[in-house]
Amino acid sequence: MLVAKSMPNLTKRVLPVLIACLAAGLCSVAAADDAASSMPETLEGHGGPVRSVAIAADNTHVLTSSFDYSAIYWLLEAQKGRELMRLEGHDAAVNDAAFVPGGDIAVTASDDGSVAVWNLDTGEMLKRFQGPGDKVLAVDVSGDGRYAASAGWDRRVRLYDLKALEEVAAFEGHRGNVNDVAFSPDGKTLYSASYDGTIHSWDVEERKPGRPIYSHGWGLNIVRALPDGKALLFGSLDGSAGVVDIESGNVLVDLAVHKGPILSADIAADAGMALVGGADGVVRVYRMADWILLHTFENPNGPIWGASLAADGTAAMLAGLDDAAFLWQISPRKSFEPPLGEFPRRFQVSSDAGPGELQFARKCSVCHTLTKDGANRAGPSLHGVFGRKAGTLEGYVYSDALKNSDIVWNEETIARLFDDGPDVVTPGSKMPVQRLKSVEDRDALIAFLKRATDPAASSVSQ
Amino acid sequence: MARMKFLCDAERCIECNACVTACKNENEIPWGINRRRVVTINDGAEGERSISVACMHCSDAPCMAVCPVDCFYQTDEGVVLHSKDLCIGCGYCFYACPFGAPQYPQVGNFGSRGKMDKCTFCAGGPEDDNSEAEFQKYGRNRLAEGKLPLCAEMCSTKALLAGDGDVVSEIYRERIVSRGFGSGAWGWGKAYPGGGS
Repeated sequence: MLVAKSMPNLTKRVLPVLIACLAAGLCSVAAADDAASSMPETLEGHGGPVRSVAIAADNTHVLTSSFDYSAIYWLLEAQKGRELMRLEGHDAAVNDAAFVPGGDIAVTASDDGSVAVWNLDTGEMLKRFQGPGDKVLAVDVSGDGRYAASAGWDRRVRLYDLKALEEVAAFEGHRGNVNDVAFSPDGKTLYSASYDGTIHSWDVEERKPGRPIYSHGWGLNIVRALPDGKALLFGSLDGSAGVVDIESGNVLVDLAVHKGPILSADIAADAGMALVGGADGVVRVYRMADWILLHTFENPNGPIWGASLAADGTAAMLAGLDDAAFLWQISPRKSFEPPLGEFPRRFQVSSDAGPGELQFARKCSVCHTLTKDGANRAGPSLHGVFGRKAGTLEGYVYSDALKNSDIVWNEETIARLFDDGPDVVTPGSKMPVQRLKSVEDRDALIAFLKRATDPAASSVSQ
Repeated sequence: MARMKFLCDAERCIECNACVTACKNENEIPWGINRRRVVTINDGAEGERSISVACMHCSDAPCMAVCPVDCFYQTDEGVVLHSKDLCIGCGYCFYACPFGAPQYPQVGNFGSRGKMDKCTFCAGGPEDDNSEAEFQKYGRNRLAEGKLPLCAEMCSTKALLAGDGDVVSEIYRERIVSRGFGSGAWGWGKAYPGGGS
């Protein structure tokens, strides 16, 4: 009865690229003094899908955040991205990261329910604001660097004073998850977009609710304040995007409708350009003066979860399902060459794998490797795990729960981990729920792990 | 092969929540998870309408497009299902679903990482049809038994229709001819653009 979804074939993936390339009059070389000339083709270093990307105002640095529980601070030089710092300390996927203007500070938001402030000189986590536990999806920072704000799935918009390192307000009013926040250009007003379909304003100085601005009906994923301070860019779950007048709440411009939810947007104020990206893999760049569509790009590898425009609008860094962020050189237009090979979803495995290897590939490999190199995945490498005391692998940032655990991993303790679940055996650890109800599956996995993680044996590819 | 679809006629829904209860009971859904819910707009005011909402098993399902581990698949009857073995609980699909269908049990060390659960159109999952493993993970596979989803079967006003999309839309068309368009079949155009298969 069931038919598996067919994988996109090579033709389907490459064709849009070829069309884009031809439409652009084939590839050309960027001028030496624009942002595009300094940007690397890719930023590779994360061990899980990249969720957000932010280019610094001077185009010299980038922040990326990922499912691998970390954010990375990159230095861009000579079309290369050098990993300056890995910001590790969140206990779950990091959904968003933003630079704080006027200082080497960054702010991140995570699935672990917290917002963290980081020193980008030292990599130290300066402060962690722990909410009630619900996902925090987005952060924004005011133009003067004084405040940060977060959008949480506890239906609240939270405001943080970055000088005092204090949470100063938790705004209530949305009837659904809050998906995005944006400061006004003068930093006095905060706007939030919610799954309840509305955009709401909040008074930063008075720290009290403003008013509902706009009701779209379908849930809203994106809100950005436009540089003139009079209008907002929004993106919705129904694929529509537009510009709404703050004063009247009227939609001023309907932008092109995407064939899937809008997932990302960015504004390059000086360049007068705005970018909108969707689950359909389509990215559109508009001229804000008249909202004329300037450029369209289709990512053959699927959705655009994160996007950041360089200040001069000549390039954008995009993030999708892959473990790397990649460059879209907008002007002069250059084609994007997707890496050939497998579609970037690598946890489906062939049926000819043994039962234990099958369990590992499907349930463990997204967060763990079997080799010495942990590949920056969300969990520690399992190489040599048998006989190892929990929380002791050098180089991995463990939770206190595991650091203080007396567990030594062996057949019995690993069996218990999958019988009762990590929430029972290692409560407070970063490991998500994973139980094996079948004794046969559990035993096959343990037998495979014992063989594949044995330092004396040759490692198994993953 | 029929293309299975849901249709909720907002002119008929009386907010009795029988669909929600039927779903929870038939599939033994744990506490805290609602695969189906009834949403009321303009509550207590003129123009009040209720709609029964769950996964619509969209033609071009956005959840399938955004899943980083490709855990979704679509059956040849158009039902969108997923593998809980592959799901990593990342929540991307909730962020992409216009109908708020994906649900996550709050059992993880960090709440948001439980395996996703959603309406299966009473069609189970990738395990063998009507096996114990399938029921444990996904609930009843009524389609394999030749039956339709219980939520729609239990609907006393037949506001919620489930079944062959052509038959469902023809029933709705007859209602419109008889009574006028009213408040419409909420979500139909979004889930099945152009009447998509």
